[in-house]
Amino acid sequence: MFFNKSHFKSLILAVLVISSFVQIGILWYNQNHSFPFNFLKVFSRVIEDRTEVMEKARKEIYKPYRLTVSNGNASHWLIEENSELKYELFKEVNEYLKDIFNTSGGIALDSNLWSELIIKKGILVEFKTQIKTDLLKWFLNNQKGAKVEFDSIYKILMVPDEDINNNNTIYLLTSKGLYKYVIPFGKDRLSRKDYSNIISSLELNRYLPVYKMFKEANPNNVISYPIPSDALCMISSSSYIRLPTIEYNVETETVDIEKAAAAVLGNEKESYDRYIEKNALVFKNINNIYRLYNDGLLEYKYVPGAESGQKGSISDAFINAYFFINRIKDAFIDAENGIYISKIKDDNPDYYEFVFDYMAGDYPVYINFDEKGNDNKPLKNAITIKANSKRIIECTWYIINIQKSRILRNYNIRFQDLLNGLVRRYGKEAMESYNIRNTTIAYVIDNGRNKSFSPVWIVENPEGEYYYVSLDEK
Amino acid sequence: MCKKLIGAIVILIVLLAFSIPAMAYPERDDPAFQNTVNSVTTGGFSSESDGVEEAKEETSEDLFEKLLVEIIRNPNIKETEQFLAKVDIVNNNTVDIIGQLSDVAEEEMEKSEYVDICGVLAVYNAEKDIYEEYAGTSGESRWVVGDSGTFSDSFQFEKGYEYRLKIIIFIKPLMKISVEDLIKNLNYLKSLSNVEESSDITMEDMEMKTTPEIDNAEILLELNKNLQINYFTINMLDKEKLVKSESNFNLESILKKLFKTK
Repeated sequence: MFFNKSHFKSLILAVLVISSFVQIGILWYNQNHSFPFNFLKVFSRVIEDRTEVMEKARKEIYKPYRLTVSNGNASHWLIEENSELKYELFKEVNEYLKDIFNTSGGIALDSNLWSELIIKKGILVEFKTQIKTDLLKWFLNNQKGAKVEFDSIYKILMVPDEDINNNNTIYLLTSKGLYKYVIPFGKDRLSRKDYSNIISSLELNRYLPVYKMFKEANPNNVISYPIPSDALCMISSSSYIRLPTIEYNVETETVDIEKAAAAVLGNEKESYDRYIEKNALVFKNINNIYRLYNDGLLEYKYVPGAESGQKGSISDAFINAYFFINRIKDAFIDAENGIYISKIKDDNPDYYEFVFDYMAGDYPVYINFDEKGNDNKPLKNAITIKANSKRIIECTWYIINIQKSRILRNYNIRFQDLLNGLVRRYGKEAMESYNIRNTTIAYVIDNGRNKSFSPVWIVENPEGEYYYVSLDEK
Repeated sequence: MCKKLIGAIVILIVLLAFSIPAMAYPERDDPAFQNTVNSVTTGGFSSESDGVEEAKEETSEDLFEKLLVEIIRNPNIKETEQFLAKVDIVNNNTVDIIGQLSDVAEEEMEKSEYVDICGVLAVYNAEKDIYEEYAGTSGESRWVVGDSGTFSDSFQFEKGYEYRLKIIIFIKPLMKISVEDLIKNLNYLKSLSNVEESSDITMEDMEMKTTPEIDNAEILLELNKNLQINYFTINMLDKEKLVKSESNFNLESILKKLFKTK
C-alpha cells in the first residue's frame, strides 16, 4: 500500500514535469499564451488535418497555368479548366515527370529548338513561373527522387508520335535550358493511339476556339515585334471567343471583429489583443501583428522577422504558406475561386517568397492598385507570402471573392487588332523594345470606377510588368 | 371555252414568272458564281456595270477605285521589290498573309495622319486571264495597315489545287482625281504591261485610242514609289487524302501477315 502510494506520487510528479515541459515547449514555439490541453486533445486530429491540407494543396495549387493540345498541323486547343480532359492529361504528364525524377538520362538540347518543337503534335503544359524541382517533387509526392541537372521547370511538352518505338518523348524547358527524355508509354498510361483519338475528337469539335502558335503565323520573322514563338494567337479576321465579365466583393468589409478574429487567428484568437485602428481591425501579440482593412487587404507581420538558419526546404516553406492560405481562404473566399502560383523568389537567405494570383475560370486575374495598406504601397498581386521552414514571416493578401457573369459575350481576339490596340495605347517604340515573355487573355482589377471588369489582352515581361488592351465586344 | 383559255394563260404566266429567276441565277459550277462568292463587291466597278455607272457623276473615290481595280485585274504588271512592306504567305490549314511595313512606308505614314497604306489580295483566274480579289474569312480582301505597322489575315482555299496570288500594297494618294487623271494613269499601267493589250482592260470604255506621253508627276500609284506588287504561288495539298493513303501502309499489320504465312 505504502509502496503504491509512493509510486503514485512519483507518477503524478512525472506527469506534472512532462506537462510543464510541453507547456513551455508550446509557449516557446508559438510565443503565445495558449494552454496545451487543446493541443493534446486534438493531437491525432491535427496530424490527420495536416495530411488532408497537404493533399488539398497538391490539388488546388499544383495546376498547369495553361494546357494546350496540338495536332501538329497549326491547330492548338486550349483545354478548359475543370474539364476531365485537362485533369487526365495533366495526370499523365505528372507520371512521366515522376519517371524523370526517378531516373537520370535526359539529353540537353539547344533552347532555340523549343520554337520548332511546340508546333509538333503533342501536349504542352505551362506554369506561370519556374517551379523548383524540390517543390515539384513534393507536389508529386516523390521527394526521394534522383537529383536532376536543373533546379526548376517552366514548361513541359509531350510528343507521343516522335519516337518510332513504343516510347513517349518529353521535353522540359528548365532553368538550365531544354532537356529531352524518351520514356516507355507504360501499361497503365495513355497509348499513342489514345493521344491521337483525343486530338481527333478536338478536331471534330467545331465549337472550340482554334489557336495558332505565333511561330506558325510568323515563321520567317516578318513581324519584328518581340512576341514569343509559343504565344497563342488567332490570325483570322473573325476571331471571337465567348467570355464572361467579372465582378468582385469584399467579404471582410462587413465582418465583425469576433468573426474576423476566428477566421484570421483560428485557435489562437484568445491570445491576441484586438482593437480598431482607422480603417483596419488589428490583432496583436508579442510577436505577431495582423491588420485587416475594410477594403479587403490583410497584412501580417512576424515582428522579430526571419531568423537566419531557418530557411529550410522550399517544400516546408510552401506547406507553411499554404496552411495560412487555406485557413483564410476557407473563411472568406468561395471554394470555386482558384489561385495559382505566379512567382517564386528564392533570393533571400532567410526565407522564400511565394506570390499567388486569382484565376477566373481559365484566365488569370491581375491586381493593379497604386496604393494600398498602411504604407500606401502599390499592390500588384493577390497574395505575397514570405515564409521559411518554421513560419510565415510576412503576408499581404487582397481578400476578394470573384464572380463571373452568367452572360457570356463575344470578344474579338484577332491578333492584328490586339497588337494595333497595344501600339495605339503605349506607342510603337515602347512595344518594339518590350521584352515580351507571356501573352494571355486576362482580367485586370484596378481602382477604376467600374465594379465590373471585361477581359483584356496582356503582354507581360519577365519581371511581371505588363501592358494590356481591352478586348472589343462584337 | 373561256375558262380553259384563262386557265391556260394563268399557268403560262406562273411558269414564266418562276422561270425568270431560275434561268437568271448562275449554276454553282459557273466561275461567275464563284467570283461572286469569293470576291468582295468593289462598288460595282466590274466591266459589266460600267455602262450603268457612267450615267452617274463619278467621285474622286470612284475614279481611284477604277484605277485600283485595273491594277488588281491586270496580270501583266511587273513584280516589285518588297520596298513598302515585307510580306510572307504561310500555308498552314489556311493561307495566312502576314507582313510589316518597311522604314520607307513608316516614314510616309508619319508625314500625315491621313495617309493610309492598304493591301489587297487577288487570285489568278486562268479562264479570264485576270486576277480577282479574294476575300478572307471575314469577307474582306482588302486591308488598311493599322497603328502597329503590321498586317495579317487568314484566307481559306479549296485544297488540292495550285493558286497564283497577287498582293498589292500601296500608299493611298490624298489628292483628288479627275477623269483625265484616271486616263493618264491607265495609260501608265498599259505602258507597264508586257503585252500589247491586256485582256479585259477597259481602255476602250475610256475612249483611249492613243497613248499620250506620261508625266510621272501625274501618276497616282507608281511602281517602286508608292505601289508594291508581289506574286506568289501556293500549292494547297490535301493533307487528309495524304494521311489516308499513308495510313494504308501499316508496318505492324504487314509484319503480322508475314509471320502468319511462315
